[in-house]
Amino acid sequence: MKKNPIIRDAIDESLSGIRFNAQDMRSVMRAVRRSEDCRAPARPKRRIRLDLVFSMALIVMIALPVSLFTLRARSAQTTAIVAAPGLSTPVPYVTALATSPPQSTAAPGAITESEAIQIARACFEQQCDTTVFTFEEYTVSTAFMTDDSGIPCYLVTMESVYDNSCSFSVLVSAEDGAVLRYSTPKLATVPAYLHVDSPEVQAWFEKNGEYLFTWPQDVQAEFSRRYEGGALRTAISGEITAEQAQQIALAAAKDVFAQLGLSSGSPCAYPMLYSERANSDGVARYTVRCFAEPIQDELPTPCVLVTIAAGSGAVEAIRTEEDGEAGLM
Amino acid sequence: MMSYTEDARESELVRLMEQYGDSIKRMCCVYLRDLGAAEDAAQETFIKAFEHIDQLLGGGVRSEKAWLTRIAINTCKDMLRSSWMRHIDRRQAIEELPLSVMPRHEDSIALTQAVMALPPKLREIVLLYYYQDMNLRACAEALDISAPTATRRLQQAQARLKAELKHIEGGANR
Repeated sequence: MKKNPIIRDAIDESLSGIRFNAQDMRSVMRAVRRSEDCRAPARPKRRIRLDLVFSMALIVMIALPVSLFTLRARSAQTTAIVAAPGLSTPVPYVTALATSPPQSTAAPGAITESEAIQIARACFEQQCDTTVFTFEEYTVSTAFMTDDSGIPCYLVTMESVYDNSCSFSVLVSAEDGAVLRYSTPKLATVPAYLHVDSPEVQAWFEKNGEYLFTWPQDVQAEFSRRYEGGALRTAISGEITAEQAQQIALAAAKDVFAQLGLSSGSPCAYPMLYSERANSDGVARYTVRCFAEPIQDELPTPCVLVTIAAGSGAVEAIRTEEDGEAGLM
Repeated sequence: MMSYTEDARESELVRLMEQYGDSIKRMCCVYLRDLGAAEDAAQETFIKAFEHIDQLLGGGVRSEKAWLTRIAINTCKDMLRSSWMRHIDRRQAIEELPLSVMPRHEDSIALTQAVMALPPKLREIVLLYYYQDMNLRACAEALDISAPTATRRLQQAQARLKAELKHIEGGANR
């Protein structure tokens, strides 16, 4: 039987304005060329915002590293400080420095490489959200170079030890230690998206189960901190606990299940505490997924999502998710 | 494995983007219901494809369209799993997408929105089967599910679409 093309035609017609345009192609080509240069898998760039800060970040994050590769051959003095791989505790940069080979040639300028790293660290601690990652959770590499104005400088690049694409770069003048530029602070702590196919992330799911919301609260929070910018956290003093949120949500979902004729089951609830940074109004809230019966192989439907203010314990919203979107996590 | 020149690999990538870019991006848009995320997902799809392009050039890929679609669907799933996507109620985003506003497109828009409103598991089978024109076996392979499961999901999707779109004659019920 011939397949009816109506859906294809409808999508093409209604989304005719959406095209994989020249800008998309350029972004892809830039990424693959960069990955070829670096001999490492490239990740897509975040949405381009043509503001000043982002332009600066682009220069630091893309243009300068590319320039760096060309300059490196003749004048670069590079030290990579590598953290322990996998899920293990990263090696603090000071320890790594102590165990790294001695520098055979000092980079020219009044500022030493170690001082440049300290300056970059101060910049990181001033600009970035250190409640997500501390400086010790990055690997640090430096490169000596000259900037566009000919000023000798160090490019200090920090990359998260977790496989999450977070990084922060600081350009420090080698003459006087001034911070010339730094990349967008948010990119130091908020990954573009969850790299589910990375072995690190997979290991978490293999260990804790398919659905993140079923994980213990502290495991959810740690996972979220490493791979999601800290959208989830555990309850703090003055907030209702996850167990309390569970009970409140179950009570709230009871009527919904009754209306749907699902009151005979054994309902269960799975809280996730979304931190202040996950909500535009800066209020921490629980999102509790309630099901009329325990989870088997497939998630039961519907899922009743109950939103509860973490501070007061007040139920703010109840909605039914028929479509099992919850099943994706 | 035979190695290919950078020019050959890049030319192949450009060809893929020109040939499938629009449909991959639109599919991502319907799947993710978010244009910005769809842009990222479509780009990521081709970046990932490039990482394995030697396989394609060497004839190791049976259907490049199915291969790309599978990469795109998996990329979309990764994105949906991110906390931010999970946290945001994207149902409002459907109206914010740049859908055509031509009056003659009203039915198309209604149908597209109905597809977007399907649960992810039903949405993806509809996208593969109808939009990417893959057969059920290829859909099942791409989604890593059994053929009976793919059939069941497709039937569920058809039933839902039919119920919501009774006014569109000859809807997606075949």
